[in-house]
Amino acid sequence: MRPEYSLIILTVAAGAGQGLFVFLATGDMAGFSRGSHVPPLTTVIGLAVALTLTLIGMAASFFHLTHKARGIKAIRKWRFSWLSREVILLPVFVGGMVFYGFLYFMGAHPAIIQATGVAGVLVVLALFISTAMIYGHLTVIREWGTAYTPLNFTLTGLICGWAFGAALYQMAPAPVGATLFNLRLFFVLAAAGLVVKLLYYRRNWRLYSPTTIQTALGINHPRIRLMDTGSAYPTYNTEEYHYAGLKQKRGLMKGASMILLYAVPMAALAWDYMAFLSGGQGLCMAPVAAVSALAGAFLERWVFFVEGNHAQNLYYGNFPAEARPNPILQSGKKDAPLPPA
Amino acid sequence: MTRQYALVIDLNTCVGCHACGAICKSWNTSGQFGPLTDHNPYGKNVSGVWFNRIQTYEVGEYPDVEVVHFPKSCMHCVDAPCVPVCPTNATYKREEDGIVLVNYNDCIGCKYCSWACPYGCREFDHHDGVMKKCTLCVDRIYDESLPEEERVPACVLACPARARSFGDINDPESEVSRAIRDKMGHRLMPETGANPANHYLPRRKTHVAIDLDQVTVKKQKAIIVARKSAGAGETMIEDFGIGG
Repeated sequence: MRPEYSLIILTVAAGAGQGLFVFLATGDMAGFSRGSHVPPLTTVIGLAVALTLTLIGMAASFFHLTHKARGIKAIRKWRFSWLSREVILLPVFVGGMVFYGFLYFMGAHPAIIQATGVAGVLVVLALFISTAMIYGHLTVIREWGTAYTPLNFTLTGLICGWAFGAALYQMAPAPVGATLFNLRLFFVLAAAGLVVKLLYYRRNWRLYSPTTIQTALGINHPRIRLMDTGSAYPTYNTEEYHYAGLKQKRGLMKGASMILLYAVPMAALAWDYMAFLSGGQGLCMAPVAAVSALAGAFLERWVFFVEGNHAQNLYYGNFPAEARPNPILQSGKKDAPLPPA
Repeated sequence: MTRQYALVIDLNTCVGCHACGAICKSWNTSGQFGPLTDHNPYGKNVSGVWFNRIQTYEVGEYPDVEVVHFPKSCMHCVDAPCVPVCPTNATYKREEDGIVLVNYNDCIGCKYCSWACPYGCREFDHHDGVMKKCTLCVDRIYDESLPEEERVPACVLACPARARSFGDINDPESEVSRAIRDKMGHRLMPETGANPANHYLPRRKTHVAIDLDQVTVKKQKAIIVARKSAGAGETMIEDFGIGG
């Protein structure tokens, strides 16, 4: 699929904003329960950063629409369309976050703040799932149509949010106990995210689609070759669903995204963690982790789009057997022979 | 059962002349669902919206090879995957005749429906900013000012090889239902679950297996000679001038 940059920015920036909100809300709950709560101003600054990230994502999403003024109509089909659910939940999340910040700023009763925080975290989880299921339920793009998609979107958002939160806790000082607790949580999230990502890539590498050029045309012959697309120039079908541009570089991009999203933030925050444990302040590496995680998430989402192979590409000569050799078929585990290229 | 209008396209007779695509563009660009915008139509890098595109495939390997022309437009799927994903309800399936249409006034141009369509049969109009697609010439088939025989989609009228037919696939006595039954009509990508209404009739060759007991001694000898010279276990009826 063609990488739609407005959607990449939406999912990455809003995802980081959601992750940061979860960081602040859960950190707050843990702090209250253990009596070592974070200074309110730190949380309010964090909420402002989360709000900015989410608004950047929302603004980018409008660039995806050609009729922006009709955007409000997109709430109609909430019972069927994941996109509609996302359009409803995103403003609910923003409103909830503003309300949460207002309660915090006004110094409301901790129980009210915590109840709002729990509701906010539930909205965030629903929003992560809605955003990811827009892609995850499209089974005609088999690389996207998997449960790994919502898992990956959620964990990537949380990793970015936690990296931002770690930077915030170090720059606007928070109790060392809270910082260490959240750093440990970050390592758990990053490890889970890495495992999910590796399983996801493994699944896609071994992916075998039941949809072939034979079922697409209804002609049972192993050797079918496209002679004419019917158009001398690129069409919507060849430009929207098939991205030739930097597709050859996707391996490089994938490696860079893994390093930026997992390796660099984990190394940077491990450095900070060791510095905190030894009692010194050390070099504050958390902002590096936050920027790196955001850049890594951006590249990761780019790879996600570019690797999506829509079933209609079969009609335009992108036959899977030629585009990506199937390792299961090639290792001889199945009898079906590969069509000759 | 309600009606489900559909096209049935005979790949056995399609000659790949692109007349269906051209007349579709011509009719719809000035019809109720137009225009089908063209960008830079007389310069380099021509692009534009088409409801009906025709691809050509080579099947087999020389000398056993065939060229198959493959016209493809919206399948008006029974379980259209493009309909539930549309967030604004702009894309809808008519209950009375099963035609899938787009309400341009509600479309926000998110392109989600085109991602959900397995067949790539929706095209985005960058000029109007809305998604467009085959309407099964809904502005022709109910137009009482037209003679009754012309109340069919423009592509069906234009096809010089009569490879296209139009009708209600839920009516077992309709021309299209008979064609699907008698000529082994099939759907595209059945595994996607879209349940497309449009059907395709495959390439057909008339082979008759003749049992030697069924013919006279004189013909038996002729058949044996013919089989030996052809090197085939099966005899084409045309070889004896009794079919065709």
